[in-house]
Amino acid sequence: MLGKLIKNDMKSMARGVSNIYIAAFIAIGAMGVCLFFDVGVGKTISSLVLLAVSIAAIVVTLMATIGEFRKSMFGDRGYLTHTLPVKAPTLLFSKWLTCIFWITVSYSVVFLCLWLIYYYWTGESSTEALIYILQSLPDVGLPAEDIMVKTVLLIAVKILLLLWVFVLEVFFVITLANVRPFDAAGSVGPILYFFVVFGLLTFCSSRLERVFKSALLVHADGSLSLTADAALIDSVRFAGGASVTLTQIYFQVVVAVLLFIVTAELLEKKINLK
Amino acid sequence: MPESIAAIEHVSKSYGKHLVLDDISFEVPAGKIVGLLGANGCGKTTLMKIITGLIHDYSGKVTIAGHRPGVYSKARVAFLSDRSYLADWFKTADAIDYFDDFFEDFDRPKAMELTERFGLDLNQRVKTMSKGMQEKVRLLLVMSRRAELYVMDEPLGGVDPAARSVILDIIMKNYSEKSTLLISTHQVHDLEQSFNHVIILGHGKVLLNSDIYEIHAQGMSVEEKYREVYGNAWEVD
Repeated sequence: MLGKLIKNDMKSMARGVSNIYIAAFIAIGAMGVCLFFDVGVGKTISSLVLLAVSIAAIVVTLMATIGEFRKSMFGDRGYLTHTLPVKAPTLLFSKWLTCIFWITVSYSVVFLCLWLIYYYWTGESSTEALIYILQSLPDVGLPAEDIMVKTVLLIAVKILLLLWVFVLEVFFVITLANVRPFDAAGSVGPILYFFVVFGLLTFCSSRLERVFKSALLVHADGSLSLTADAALIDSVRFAGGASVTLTQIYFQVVVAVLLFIVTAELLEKKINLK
Repeated sequence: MPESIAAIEHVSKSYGKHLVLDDISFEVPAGKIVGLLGANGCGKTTLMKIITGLIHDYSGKVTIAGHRPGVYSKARVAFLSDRSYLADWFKTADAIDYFDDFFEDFDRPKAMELTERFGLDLNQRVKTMSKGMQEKVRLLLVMSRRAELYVMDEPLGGVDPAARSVILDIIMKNYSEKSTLLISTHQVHDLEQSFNHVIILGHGKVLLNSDIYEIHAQGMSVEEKYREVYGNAWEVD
């Protein structure tokens, strides 16, 4: 059943987000044409369009995932969804997997577009200059190029994981807003509950980081290790390495599991479709 | 065949301060065509939503074929709602594929036969269909299932008299005779010839739960009995 749910959810989501990705490909194609024919104004316009489309991709995808969840679970389409012979956790898992797939795609599209814009405007010679600058970083006390690249990639993965948890937070507040007595807040409910939940989790996460320091260390030799030793984190940085804090990730993973369980329970036992 | 397909035991449901179902209990007899009658707002749709698992927040106990509303019952209950629950972008073919994917009792050849009979285009999207066409799609999807219990919420509501006859004909000729039909309606006159059993709801209570023969034995039609029961219920108030 999970496979069938994912198949249908993917099709449904694709319809909601495909236009923005088509726009991105058109913008990339336009940039390619302007580059080939060296059309100056065209290059500028197509770059601006691609920048706007890349940012819109992630925003549109987030909005589409939230809208799709709300419509398919609590709108008229919910009359079909909730009469399927499928357990609530399976329904929820399918929706979440579909959302994180598309969010990951949009995230990748943003990076691709930004890289294309950079390469488009700076060309090969400036890319070599950037590489030279990166290679000179240790001379000014910053981590070396390969360390910086690894750290940036790890931070990008961290942000992506946080986005995946964010989706579950949104699913939870939308579900909560459809349960008595929380449904009394009406259409404002999901927004209100989101700020409360998000604020509370952010507060707890920051407090936890003060008490428990955990990080992924990128050593100067390029190796990776985990640590909860604040002194070690500082010494690795001093020695030309870098670190990515993990406390927030651990907390958010636990929160994600709890939110999933609570949301599934609410779907199974408490919702009333209007 | 068991005597009852569904049992409603001491079920109460309120929306805020408005008590819609007040400690009602009854059984839906198996293998029969059961009319669920009552005025607007008396709780027919609420009761159907409880049976089909769309409402969980109620007190009491509901069982379908011995199981609480859940995966087991949903695999055996086909619900025809008045809501447009298909995605706008669905084509008729997509809707058939969807039901075929999730319901083991779905009869695809029958669905294709009904599609042709209704004159529907397999490649037409729901958003381009009229309300009547969308209703036909939903009806063919439900009637293509070999369910143990069909729950139909106002299947004749908002439909012209000619179409009512067609819909009724499709329902009566396509459901499995071993199955149970629970149909809510205001069009008592159109359906009373088809009912074996009648349940009348009013003011949160079950006002009547009777086999059709008992009503006829009193020399009354279902419509006359409905008026009598509802007339008395209004007087009580």
